[in-house]
Amino acid sequence: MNLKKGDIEKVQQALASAYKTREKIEVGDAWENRVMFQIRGLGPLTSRLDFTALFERYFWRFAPAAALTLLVLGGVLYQQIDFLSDCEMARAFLGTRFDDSLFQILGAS
Amino acid sequence: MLDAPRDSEIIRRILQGDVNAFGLLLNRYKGYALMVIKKRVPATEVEDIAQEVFIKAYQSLPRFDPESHFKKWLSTIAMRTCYDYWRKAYRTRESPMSALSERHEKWLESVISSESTTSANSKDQQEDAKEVLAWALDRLSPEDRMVMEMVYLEGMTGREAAELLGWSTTNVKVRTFRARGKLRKLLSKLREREEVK
Repeated sequence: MNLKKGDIEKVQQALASAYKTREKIEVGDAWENRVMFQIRGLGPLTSRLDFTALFERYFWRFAPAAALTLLVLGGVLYQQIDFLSDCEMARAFLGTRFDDSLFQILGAS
Repeated sequence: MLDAPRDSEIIRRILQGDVNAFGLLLNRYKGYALMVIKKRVPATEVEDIAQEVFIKAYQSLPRFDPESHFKKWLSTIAMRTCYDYWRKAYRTRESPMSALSERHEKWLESVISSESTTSANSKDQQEDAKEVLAWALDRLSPEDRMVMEMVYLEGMTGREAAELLGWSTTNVKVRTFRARGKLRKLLSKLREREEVK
């Protein structure tokens, strides 16, 4: 039999109350010394950020601005550059005889 | 009397190579870290996990954003370390699955039949409640377990839990919804067992 909504709420409150009353755990000086021993074993840190750390810190911060700039530049380029479609390119080539073009390239009259 | 150095000042000293200054942070935040950890992992694992948390914090200190709060940053590391613990534990199933007895089924029945939850406050009943909780959480995935503890039992918002776990808010909300359904099924099954008897 499924529990009713009211039953679920009662059980939830009882479980949440039990969850919050977990036994107190304290750590002594020995634990602290053990952690510091390990930390000292790792050696001193350097304040100089390596490239990866800098990348991680700033990549997402500047990502929206970079994406917007790319979009604007893309738009400008699209407006300014005269794109030829594949069909137009093919037509331009097919409309010119091959031997004529070769003569032109070789400079023959 | 001299004022205690601020966290940012201590962190600056550590980053300049003063390893011992980390002891000040350790001393200042060990109680808080233990409080966060002890709720989420078995008591026998708390010390080791707390140690792991502080070592991770030390190693990650060069990436700490000085504009943010150290305490909040540390709690994020603690939460994720607890989550990693459960993922590993579930993979290897080192911690035995807890089982329930007739006493626990009776506890559930008494909670449901009581007028209010305050009646279920005796020490024995608290123990039974803890065991039922451990039994139910053991049967959830590590992800569901984390969101259940944070949202359902501690009352965090989905956004707070998402921030601490590094997940999206939607992910946390969906998981909480599913996990609540699973918990309801588990408790219903437990009740059915009692009713069959």
